[in-house]
Amino acid sequence: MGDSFVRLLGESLALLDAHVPHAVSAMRRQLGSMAVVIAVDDQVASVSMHRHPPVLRGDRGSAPVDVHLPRTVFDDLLDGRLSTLDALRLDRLWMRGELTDLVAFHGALQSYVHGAVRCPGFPALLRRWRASGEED
Amino acid sequence: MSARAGLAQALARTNALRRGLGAEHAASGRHKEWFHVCLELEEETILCNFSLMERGQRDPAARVALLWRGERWQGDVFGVPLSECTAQAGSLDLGFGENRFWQEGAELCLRVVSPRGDRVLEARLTPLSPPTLPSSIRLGPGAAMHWVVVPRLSARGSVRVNGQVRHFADAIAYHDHNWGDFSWGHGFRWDWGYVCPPDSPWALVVVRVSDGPGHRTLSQGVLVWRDDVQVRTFQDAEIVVAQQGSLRQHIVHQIPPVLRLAAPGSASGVPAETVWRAQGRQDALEIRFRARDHAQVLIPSDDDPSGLTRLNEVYGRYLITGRIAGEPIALDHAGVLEHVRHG
Repeated sequence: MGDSFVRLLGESLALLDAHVPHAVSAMRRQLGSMAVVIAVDDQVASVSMHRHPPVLRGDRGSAPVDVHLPRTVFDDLLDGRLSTLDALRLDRLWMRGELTDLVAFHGALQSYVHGAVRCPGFPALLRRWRASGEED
Repeated sequence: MSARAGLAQALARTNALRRGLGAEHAASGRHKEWFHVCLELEEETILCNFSLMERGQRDPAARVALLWRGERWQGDVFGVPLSECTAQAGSLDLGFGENRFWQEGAELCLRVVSPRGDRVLEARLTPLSPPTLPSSIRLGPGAAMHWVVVPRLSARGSVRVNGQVRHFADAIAYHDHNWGDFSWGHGFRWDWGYVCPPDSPWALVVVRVSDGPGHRTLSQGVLVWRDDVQVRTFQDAEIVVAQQGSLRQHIVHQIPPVLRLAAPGSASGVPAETVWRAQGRQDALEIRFRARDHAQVLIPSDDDPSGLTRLNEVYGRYLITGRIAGEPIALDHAGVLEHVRHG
């Protein structure tokens, strides 16, 4: 079985925690005890940052913020072909939640990206993610 | 010594890599070094950049940027694992995977292959004027950047796009080499431009380095060449710079693409127009740059965990008038001006 979204997300959070802990701290401050559900196609992850290390479950559960997008859109975002705002406007990225919770999620996402681009292990994770897409 | 041998020697002395890979230097954790080339072809302007940058770790990151502006900006910046890199201090021969930038006699040579292999640039650049002596700019306590410029080179080579090859010859190119120990971030910003029209003997480089907010100028200069001779350098108090307006561009080509996620919106801090007025010792120049469009190279800031340094590569028009040593100058030519901003 190839690398799933849930597995790679879990590994990415562990990498961030080890190498760029201030990014994980910033995500924790932004999300507090709030859980976030992220679904890429039918791969679902529920993330809670309030514990150390972060808790990641591979099921939907219920959460104040629910994010759903196809893998093609996920890759378009990674490759800069689409901005988050345009993906929302075009109805290709779907988010549910109270406005304040969505703003907190956006802040945590920014912290995650800033941590990722400063973390030495992320290029290898990205290669594994792309390889998993080619296997499908 | 022939002129060509003298040029080769001048290049080898001034333009060599300052810090190579390996253990020959104690890493400061802040050393940055890069080689920048701009090629003016008939159908497009191409920028390429080889860099080695320490980011607080023992080993630097090796990257190659390849940007081109045809009908629109395209291109990418990509990292190369150090296990695939060779770079020795004291000479110029960078091998970053399939990509290479090196000196061969009196020529600078480069080969860049885009990550998907769909674009390959190969060029040999012959300097038409010798490199400058190294200049230094202090960027803050314990931080400085040094640079060498070759303002005009003649380029020949080829661009292969999706298997189709276009050859070029007698194209005009510009080259600079920068190195120093500093952190990307709040401490400074710079504006750096160059123009070398193919049908004119004149070439100019404009440089201004300011503090982070842009309130205080740390250093500024206007360098002027006529043919292969640097005939005038205006410095600091001889120059007044004015910037006005804001370049509005709905879609900005940003690289690396993944950092678009951290740089939403189109605000860039790029002025619509920048004017340098330089005057002294009976020489005077007005250099007006009208920005047309730009691409951004995004670099995670070293001193701000949620900050980005934006290298705005702005394409526009230089309108230059004035008089140097009694000789009038009137130029109207497209060129590139780089605005580095933090945000």
